[in-house]
Amino acid sequence: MSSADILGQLMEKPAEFAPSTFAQRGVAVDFTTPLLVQSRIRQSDGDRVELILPNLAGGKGSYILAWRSLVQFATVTLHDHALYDAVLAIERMDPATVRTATLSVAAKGLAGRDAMRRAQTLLAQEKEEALLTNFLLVVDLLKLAGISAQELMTGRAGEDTEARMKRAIFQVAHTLQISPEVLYQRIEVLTRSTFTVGLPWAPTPGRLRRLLGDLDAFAESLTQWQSRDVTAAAEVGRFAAAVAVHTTTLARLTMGESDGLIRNVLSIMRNWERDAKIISGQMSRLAWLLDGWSYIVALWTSVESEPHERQRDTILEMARLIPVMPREISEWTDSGLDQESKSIQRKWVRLNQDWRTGRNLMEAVARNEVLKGAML
Amino acid sequence: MTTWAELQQLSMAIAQAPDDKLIQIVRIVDTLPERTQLDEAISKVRHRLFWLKPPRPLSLARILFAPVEDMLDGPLLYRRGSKRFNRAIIRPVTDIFEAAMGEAKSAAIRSELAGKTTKQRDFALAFGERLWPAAADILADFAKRAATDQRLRTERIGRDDDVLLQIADMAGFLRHAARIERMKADLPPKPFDDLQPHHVQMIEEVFIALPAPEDVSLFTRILLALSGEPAKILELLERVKLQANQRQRDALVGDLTQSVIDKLGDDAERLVNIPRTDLQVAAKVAGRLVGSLDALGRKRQWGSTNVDSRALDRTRRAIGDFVVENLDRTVEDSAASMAAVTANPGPATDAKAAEAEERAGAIRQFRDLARTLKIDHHTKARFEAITRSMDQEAIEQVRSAVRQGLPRAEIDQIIVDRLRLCDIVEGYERANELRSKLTSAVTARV
Repeated sequence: MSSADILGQLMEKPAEFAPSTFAQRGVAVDFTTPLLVQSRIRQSDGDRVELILPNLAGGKGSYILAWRSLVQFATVTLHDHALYDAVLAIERMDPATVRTATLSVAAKGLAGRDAMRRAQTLLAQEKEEALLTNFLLVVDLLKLAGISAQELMTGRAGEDTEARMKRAIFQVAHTLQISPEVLYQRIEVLTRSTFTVGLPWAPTPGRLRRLLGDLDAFAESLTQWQSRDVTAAAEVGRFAAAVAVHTTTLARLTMGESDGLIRNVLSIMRNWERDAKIISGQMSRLAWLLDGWSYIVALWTSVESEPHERQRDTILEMARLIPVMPREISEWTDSGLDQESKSIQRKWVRLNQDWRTGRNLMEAVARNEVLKGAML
Repeated sequence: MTTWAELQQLSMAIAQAPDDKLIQIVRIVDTLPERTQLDEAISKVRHRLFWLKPPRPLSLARILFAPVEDMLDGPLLYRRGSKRFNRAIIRPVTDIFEAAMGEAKSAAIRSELAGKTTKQRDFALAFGERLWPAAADILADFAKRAATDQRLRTERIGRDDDVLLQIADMAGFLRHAARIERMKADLPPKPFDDLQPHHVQMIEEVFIALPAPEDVSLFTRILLALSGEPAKILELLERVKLQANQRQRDALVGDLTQSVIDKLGDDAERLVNIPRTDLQVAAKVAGRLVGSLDALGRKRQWGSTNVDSRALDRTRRAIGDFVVENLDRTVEDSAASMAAVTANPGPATDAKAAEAEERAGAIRQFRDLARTLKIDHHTKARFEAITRSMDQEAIEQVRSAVRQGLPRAEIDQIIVDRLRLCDIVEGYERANELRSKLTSAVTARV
């Protein structure tokens, strides 16, 4: 097959698999088996889940398989079996819950020691970020309720910080005409929805906010790379950069809206039924939008200092992993990007891969494990 | 005078030297004026130098032979008719060139090269572009004269016909040296498995520009030396555009096929030279050879040559023997390994754990190879012995760890490490069985 044919297949033919929602698209899962790498998983009827694999021969469409069917023909690593079991146990499948399951499995060491340490660090970091978000929300809420930080620090004589905080919360709850327990609960729920993105005034950005920055750098780096390359890979690089820019644009729009809303925590608490749903929806959208990019960014970073030739192979490998935009994206913004999203649903014929047997290629598994240790 | 025993000792020391020391040794050797015996010692670690790529002084010989450096075999490994070069011709070729250039010009060349190293690739290419055409003419002229002048030939290169053939061959390569170097620079690092479409396009562009099939043969020989899967290069040669008719193309493919088959046979015989500690290297090289044999064996005829299936079978047998030998060795080593983990059951260091996984990967690869070579009936018992002993070793390690009162986190780490090894060698089902056994080993003692 000539470069022109491959490029044609990549750039011109519409994808067979065009999900209408993110949930239908599924969540990218950090499997280590080369055949399954970044395959998507989605909830099917009842308790069943389905795996969505790019066409194994690299041709049109995707394969939708049950796990049981997959393990009959492919050699799947111990780690991936454990990860599948963990994903199966998730009540509501979304990028955040799948990520937690992924980190928990990796933290057991099944993907190797580096990935284990990295997963443990990330889990601890997640806890710290949740704690920080919770603290910042409380402080901001009190500030908005007219209780200054100074007041909080000094308070009445003989009263410790915790007691002072409690008293202040009681005061705010009274203003909002809800019980302090309900107020605590609401802060907790808001914390859970927002800590992965992080509050706009937080001293350090949250994980998805950081990923957005990384994605900017990725798009920039790829744009430069493709301008130096004269082969078919340059087109793939240009396309990947365009999708990355598209994604960051949408993500920033969503983030801008949610940041605007969250700046007034008191108003959210007051209009809880409406605003909490909006915030949670926007955070969830951000997570879905950026789902799958962490691996791609880590993959590119891992070859950034490698020879151009190696980078070219990585670009071609990356092409099939670029997240497909579902149709529901058009409902979020009036930017007209729904039309554009259709043009970025692509597939890639992978050359010389052991697609028939799905044989466990040790070097590729090792590479996937290393990337697991490098992802956000 | 260095004795044979001293040389052996030196070779051993060099072979066992860690990477940084090896680079230091090479740096010292490169400064010595007389280094014949040391060169022999270094030749045993040439594969390591290929990966380490220490900067080497840019000598006249190095520049002259740069285009064909991947086709050079040591005198003991070189085989006549292999379409490769004997390292032993480096000296006579350099002498012929220097004699033809004259003392003044040779001194000027040496002074221009003084202080330069192989890291200065742009300089080397630019210098080579000036040097190679002249060298090609000198060598071609010498080959022509020596073919008729027996005395000249005996004086300069000895009586061996093959040396003269190699010199004439070398002249051919040097005529295209600049283009060869540029092509090599655009190819993936040696040994490459796959060529991307743009590589094929680039090769096609080079081939179509070559006026004669003989020139295509030279370039293809370079590609064969660089490729990890030579059959793919032959397939490429069968289909890319050339300035040749079908008969010429068939002759070209046929001629090179035989040399590839011979080379695979030689490589299979040399598998035993891989140090026994490098199990993963052994598995990888053997796997590559079997892949090439299978690819060649898929067709009865390559160009004008019928595939010598007996030669292929002979090579397969040699690889099979090598696989069996490695498995036997692994079985033999298992008792010592078991004793070691029982005495010191703590979790392995990161480096040791990674090494163990690489070895496990090699064992897995040997099993796949045994299937491909259809000797699995022969190796089945050995594999069973290995996997049984791995399981036993895992259980013993966990038991000893519990006995010695190691912390639970360490025991868990041992279990995970062992499960990963089992998963690599035997797959998920067996790893699951082992998990139950190891869990029982922990609970039985608690």
